[in-house]
Amino acid sequence: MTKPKQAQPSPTAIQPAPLLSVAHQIADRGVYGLAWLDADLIVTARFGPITEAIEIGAPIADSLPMLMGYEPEIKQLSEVQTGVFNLPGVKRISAEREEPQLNLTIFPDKDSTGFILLIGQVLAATDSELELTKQMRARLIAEEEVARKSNELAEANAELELANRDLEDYAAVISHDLKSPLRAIRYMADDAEKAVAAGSTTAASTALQTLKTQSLRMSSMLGALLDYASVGRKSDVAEVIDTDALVRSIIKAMPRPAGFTIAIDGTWPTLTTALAPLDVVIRNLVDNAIKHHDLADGTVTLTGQPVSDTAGAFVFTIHDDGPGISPKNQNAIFLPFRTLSRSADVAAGSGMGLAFVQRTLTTIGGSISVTSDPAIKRGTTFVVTWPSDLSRPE
Amino acid sequence: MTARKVMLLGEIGVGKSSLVRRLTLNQFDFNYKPTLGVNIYTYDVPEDVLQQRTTLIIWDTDGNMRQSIFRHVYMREASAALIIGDVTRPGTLDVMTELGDGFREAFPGRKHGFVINKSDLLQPGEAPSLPESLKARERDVIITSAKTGDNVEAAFHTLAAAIIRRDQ
Repeated sequence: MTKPKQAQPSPTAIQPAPLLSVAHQIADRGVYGLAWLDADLIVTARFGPITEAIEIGAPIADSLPMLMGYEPEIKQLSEVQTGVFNLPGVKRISAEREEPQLNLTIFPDKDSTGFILLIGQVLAATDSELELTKQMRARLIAEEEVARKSNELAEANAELELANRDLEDYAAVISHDLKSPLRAIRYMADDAEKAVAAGSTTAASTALQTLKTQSLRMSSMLGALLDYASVGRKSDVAEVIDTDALVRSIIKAMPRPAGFTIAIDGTWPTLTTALAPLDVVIRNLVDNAIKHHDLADGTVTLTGQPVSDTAGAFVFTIHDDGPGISPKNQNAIFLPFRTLSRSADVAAGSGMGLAFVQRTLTTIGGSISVTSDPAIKRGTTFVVTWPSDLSRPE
Repeated sequence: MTARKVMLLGEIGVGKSSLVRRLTLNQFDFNYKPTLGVNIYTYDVPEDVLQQRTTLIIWDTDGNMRQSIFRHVYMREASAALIIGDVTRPGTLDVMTELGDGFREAFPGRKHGFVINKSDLLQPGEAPSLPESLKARERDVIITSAKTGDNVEAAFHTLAAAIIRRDQ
């Protein structure tokens, strides 16, 4: 048996009166409001408490400044009757009040040449969207923190790698350079032992004296190594340095043979940098130029260059007219305890000057290069690039 | 009276709302409330600053929009933009340059300025570390703190002056 169809109420069966009642009830709760605008967007009427701040007789942008600038776009809607202008999710905040977030919709009024503005309050999803946005922000900040930590880790690894390389250098230096005085000490101890056995106190005393000298040399070398290792561990504070005054004070106090000339040339600027490393670099380069000169009447010239506007780095050169350094030896001169004038009576701890210079520059992000070829002409030029800031190299 | 529309752009959480609230309401809220959609503030630039009455309609946008903001209805008829980053989050400073380029492309000839906010979180005497992309535009960068109010007015006044100069 077929069930008889029940009659469904048709939407058109709802009369205007109940519809108007519902429209009033929703508007009264601030869910929406309406405003009527003429062709020039002047407010002619309004409906609903949410529109109470809209001034009748004034341009709509006076009451809703967020519509300022959109007027031509809105007026064009009358040319396309189906057109709609939407400005979603806008909220006006002033010292007096924080208004609700609104969706503004404007469309042509088919019963006039004007427009109807529908104001709807944004009601739903606010809490969940806020929570999502908060979580997104927290995630972004966490990601940046992870990236920052990764960079710090990479920098720490690079420093560790440098430290490991240094350690290998120390091991090589200690095994090679310190062996020499150690071997001498052992031989002298044997000699002293034999001399005592033979009853020769003079020979024993001589051997013990040599043993003492070699142990002092070892002690001095170890001290120099410790100083070398400490370069870069000190946190140098930047201060305003008059490099001209600095270089003149270094030169004034620098011991030199009577016929030796030290000249200062070029531009030596005033910089904000660390004093101690700059002093170490200039002092050791000048000392090196004097110490390894083969004549009594040599000349060393220090030339400063103006600071570059773009890079901000300060460049200076130290040139001598000594015997020069052959290209094949130019890398070795920066290694600890390497000296090209290696005579038997080289002072203990010598051969560290240029090693100090390069390590200092590497630590602060500067650089040094050497130009010399004794086969062509005498003399050596060291070019130092001093960094614009003291940031450690990556 | 001249009214001009100014957009606040920048990554989420850089302090766009804090800056405009400090400017217009002289308030700083320690509780973070993300902006959804757009919040509209009005600010009357003091007459002695520009020698004329000027109102800024300041649009504080949702930081999630990123580059899509330039295609949004919100951006239409904007006179200028203030692009904001957070001094403690280098990623937000990189985004500033991208937004500056996007704005210049979408609104040729319109003015924009860069603001690095939260200077109160720097150590005394510490300068913010700018990414290379922003260093080239260092002259347009203003360092602010919405928390203390440092340079907040200056940032908006500088932009307002640039808008007026362009219009003349």
